[in-house]
Amino acid sequence: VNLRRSLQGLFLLLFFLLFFTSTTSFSRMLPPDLFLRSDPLAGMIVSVMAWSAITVFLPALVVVGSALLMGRAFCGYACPLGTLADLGARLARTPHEEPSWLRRRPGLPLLILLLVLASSLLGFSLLAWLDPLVLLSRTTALVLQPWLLEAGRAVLGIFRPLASRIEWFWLSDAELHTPRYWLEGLSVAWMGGILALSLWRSRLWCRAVCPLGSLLGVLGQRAVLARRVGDSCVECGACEKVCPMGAIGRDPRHTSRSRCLICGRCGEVCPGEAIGFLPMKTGPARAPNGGWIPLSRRALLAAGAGGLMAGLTVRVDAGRAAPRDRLIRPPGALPEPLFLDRCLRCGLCMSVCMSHTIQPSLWEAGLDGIWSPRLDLRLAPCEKHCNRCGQVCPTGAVRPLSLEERTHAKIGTAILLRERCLVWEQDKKCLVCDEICPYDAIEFREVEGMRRPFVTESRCNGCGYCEHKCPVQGQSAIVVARMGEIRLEKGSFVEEARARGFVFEGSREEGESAPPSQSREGELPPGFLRP
Amino acid sequence: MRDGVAWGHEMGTDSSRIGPQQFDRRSFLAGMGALAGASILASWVPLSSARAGETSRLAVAKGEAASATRLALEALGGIDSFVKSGDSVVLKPNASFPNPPSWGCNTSPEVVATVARLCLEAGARRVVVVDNTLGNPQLCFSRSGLRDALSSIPQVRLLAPKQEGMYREVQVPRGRALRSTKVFGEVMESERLINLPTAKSHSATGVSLGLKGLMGLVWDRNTFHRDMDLDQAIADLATVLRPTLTILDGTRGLLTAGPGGPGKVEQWNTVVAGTDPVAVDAYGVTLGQWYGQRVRPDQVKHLLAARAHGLGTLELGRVEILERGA
Repeated sequence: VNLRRSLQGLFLLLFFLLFFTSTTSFSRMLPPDLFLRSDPLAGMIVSVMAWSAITVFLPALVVVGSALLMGRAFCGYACPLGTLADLGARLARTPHEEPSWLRRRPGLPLLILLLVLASSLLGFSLLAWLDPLVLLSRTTALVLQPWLLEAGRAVLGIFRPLASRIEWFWLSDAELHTPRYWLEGLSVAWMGGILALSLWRSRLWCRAVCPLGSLLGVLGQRAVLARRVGDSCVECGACEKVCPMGAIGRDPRHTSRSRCLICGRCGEVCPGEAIGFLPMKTGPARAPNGGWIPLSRRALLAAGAGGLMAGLTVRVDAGRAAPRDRLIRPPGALPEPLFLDRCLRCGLCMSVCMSHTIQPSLWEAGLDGIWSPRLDLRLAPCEKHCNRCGQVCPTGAVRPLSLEERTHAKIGTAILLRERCLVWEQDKKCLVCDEICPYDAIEFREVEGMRRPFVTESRCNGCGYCEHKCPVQGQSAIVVARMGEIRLEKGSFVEEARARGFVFEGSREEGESAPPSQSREGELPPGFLRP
Repeated sequence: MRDGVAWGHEMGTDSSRIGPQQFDRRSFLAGMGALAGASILASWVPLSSARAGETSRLAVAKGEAASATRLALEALGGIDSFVKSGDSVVLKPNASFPNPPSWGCNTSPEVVATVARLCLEAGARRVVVVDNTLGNPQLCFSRSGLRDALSSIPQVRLLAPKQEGMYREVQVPRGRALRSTKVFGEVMESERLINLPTAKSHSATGVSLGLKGLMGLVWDRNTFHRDMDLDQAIADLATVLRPTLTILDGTRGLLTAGPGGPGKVEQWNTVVAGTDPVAVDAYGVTLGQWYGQRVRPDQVKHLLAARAHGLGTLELGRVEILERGA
């Protein structure tokens, strides 16, 4: 049994297990965001952006500790994206050798890390694009899960008639619902590109780009566990050929600690058994510190300047300042700038959303708002009796709320577009917005001989059931805008909603009847004909 | 921190596994193809012919939900007069809204469970409870109390089919507004359809009783509101969906703000049952004061249209009423 592969498999399985059980009670034992919270880079960036230590990232200290003792062991043994890269390389028989452009630029990954850190200082997080755990998390949510469910749905659909014929109702009644997301193409292309890099040369993403790996490499410069080459080395070069990271130099005694995964593949092939990872009796007492690549002053300046420019770019992007009318955030989302600082763009909220109305943004929230969650209420409504998004959010960008608090976290207000409305424009008997409204926020009033719908703004929660169910094709005749949304950094949404005069339920929930709305003398009750 | 979360399982089915190396790839694929072909063939099923309406007799029973339901059915000769041994039965309650029973917008779970039990006692081969809910099916079934009420009857299946493939195109030859629609397929295969509406107001059609409730067996109801006269379409649908029996749950009545509520709810402790779907609805109209007013059955446009189709009578004076219970 290969220890490394077993651990890799175990961590990969754990990653998907946590993900696919995130809406079950299993998640109470092990949180679905465990990997994200173990990400020291994410912890650093979010703490810098939010300008306070974010304690949910405490598990990341374990990974920091592992790096101090064992260098990039996390990448070699635990990182699920690294494992996928290894799997791909195995299947595709990917060559290991270092591309020449990378050989000439050994400082590239460090440069990228510094760029990520520098841009975060100016308020622009690149985690959404470059952090392996964030990326894999989001891709699992937006791509893998829908793929699996759609395939399962198609198979179920084929076998349903037969199953019902032979009365296998457990099968014929089974339904799978495929979540659908915007930006599928971009999601697939980005992750596909990353994996393709590692199919071309093994772990090329991990060597050349990954800022988390780079950070762990920096921390591991003086690790205890490190590759050491004893006196029995005959310089055959076998180790260099099998190293998936290009961590071994032309001189096989030389190891780049910024690269070495402690995977031990070099030791397996060494004919002289010259390679060990613990301090040796023979050979060097301490592993040669050959990995540190001092960046030139010019490179440091370039990283700083790049980060500065990236930060300035998002700051001057109009997306930050333009009031986006249809940018509906999940209920309980922090006030916008704080929300964007905290949000990892990990896609967990999208994955657990009961109706899958939570979608990744493209430009709706500005340049740095890309991948951040927004609600597409035409596609699906926001369920009144669901608070999963806040419960899974790793960083509290969407606050964890009780169901009562959540129903008071108003996300917008419905606006009726009379010129599209079947009742206002065509005198049709439609009441769909009214019957479906979970907050009783649509009322009908007699106008020009017919009862026509109006929005009661003080009752509208912005859930979008009306927008979703409106039978008008294409754009709905009733749409939710940000108007009236409640965004609180702290404190009670119930109190805030009451203070602003909103009524979202109150005691009617418990079955208490509403005051009878008598129809006036001589006026017909709604829907009936004159006798 | 995770208290009070609405956790639910979305991916319910286990995937069966084929052991490695037991088939070669080609024979496996061929086998799958054959199964799929058989499955598609099996989907062709002749539609059951609609039965003509019978004499108009209505049972009106008082009491709490379960006993009133039993009394009403006994008055009509017992469930055995309608459900034969070996029948497959579809029950159609209102379950569209994720609201508690006290709101009066869904059929009382006790009524549904009682009818389901009676059908099984009468020897029904299978019983399926179905409504294409407006709201999220899981929430509708849990918050309406329907799932809990049926959980103790393992033979009963509770469904809110949300896959178009579970519906079947049906022509409506006598339809004036509705010419064809897709209906939950199993209704067409089953011997019996029992409609279990609740009694509530409806701001577009006046009341929502049995005939209106049949829209819950349809795949696309948007088109009823958008593309045609809603009242006429409801009556047209009733020409092809002919329940064996309509049992109107009048234990509560939602008198205002229907169909979703919250509105004024009255306790009526009444269950109305009959084979004439128009007469049951006509009686339902007289049960309460809608928005504070007495309304006559012929003030409901879709009931007039159903009568014009010859689906039943609106003249309650000509209907034999069998009163039971306190």
